[in-house]
Amino acid sequence: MATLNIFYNSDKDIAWTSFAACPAELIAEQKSSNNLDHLSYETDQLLDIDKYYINNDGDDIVAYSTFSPTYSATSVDLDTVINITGLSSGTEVFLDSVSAGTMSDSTLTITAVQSGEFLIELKKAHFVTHGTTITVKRRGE
Amino acid sequence: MANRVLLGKRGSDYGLFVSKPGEDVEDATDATNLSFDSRAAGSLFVAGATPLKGEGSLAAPTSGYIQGTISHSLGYIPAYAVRWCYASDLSNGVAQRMYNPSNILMTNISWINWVQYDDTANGGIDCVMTDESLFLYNFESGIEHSVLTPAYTDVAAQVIYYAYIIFQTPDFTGGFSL
Repeated sequence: MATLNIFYNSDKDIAWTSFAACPAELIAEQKSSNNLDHLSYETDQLLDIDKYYINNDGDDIVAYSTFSPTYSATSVDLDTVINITGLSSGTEVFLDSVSAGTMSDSTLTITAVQSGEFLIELKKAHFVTHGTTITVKRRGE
Repeated sequence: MANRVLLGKRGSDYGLFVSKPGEDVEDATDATNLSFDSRAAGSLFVAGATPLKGEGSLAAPTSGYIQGTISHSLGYIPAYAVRWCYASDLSNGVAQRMYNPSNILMTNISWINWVQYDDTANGGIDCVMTDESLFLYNFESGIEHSVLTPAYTDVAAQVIYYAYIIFQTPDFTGGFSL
């Protein structure tokens, strides 16, 4: 095991890590210049730092949560209503990389008004981004 | 035919020297192309009582860059080597390919129907070595169309994984990574 020095911001997101020795001066400089706090973490290998954050006590890492949405359908005809359930409040929904809004409840309702393939992405702090492709068939397909 | 192997004194230095084909190894001028020079191999020791080498990662920047700092406290600017990769280049924590330090910071400004569109494409890393620290910068903030409403991102920002070695030898590259 080796000591991985982790620097993280006030949202508990990891900014950068290093197995290099980390003198007190560097820890103080990172706090004063970038408002980053420090955690020493024993591990064998580098963290996948966009899948972990720091707990509230600042003494351990926590794996990102995962979305478990349920889609009523992912391949539909025009004018079909799709329900996506199992979401959590605060989830930001992206349609083809463009933000479509932030959830205030747990169910998203989408009406298919245009044919084609569309990427639905669900994003939230400390969650692994979830993506699903919705296919809307043309009339007669 | 030129002499190509020399063990002993060459110019004012001693060592083992092998020149490239057609080059006289006994010609000690800088213009002589060598394929092996034992002085170079002997000088590139890793610095530090605790060897100054290791790995780390820099988070994906939402804008600008994410900076990491490696302290070496040697009191002079040393030679060093940095390589980096993306998460997708790792397999079970081991890099399958790595890249030299390089980066691109690009803004494309275009006008369509009197509306200005700014597209920014930033990627790669930069390194700056001082007499106290090695600074690493992740510029990989992706490709963003920031003026469109709503703004959207073509290529997502990425975490960068890096490895470095700091040598005892003072810098001889002008501050660039080997």
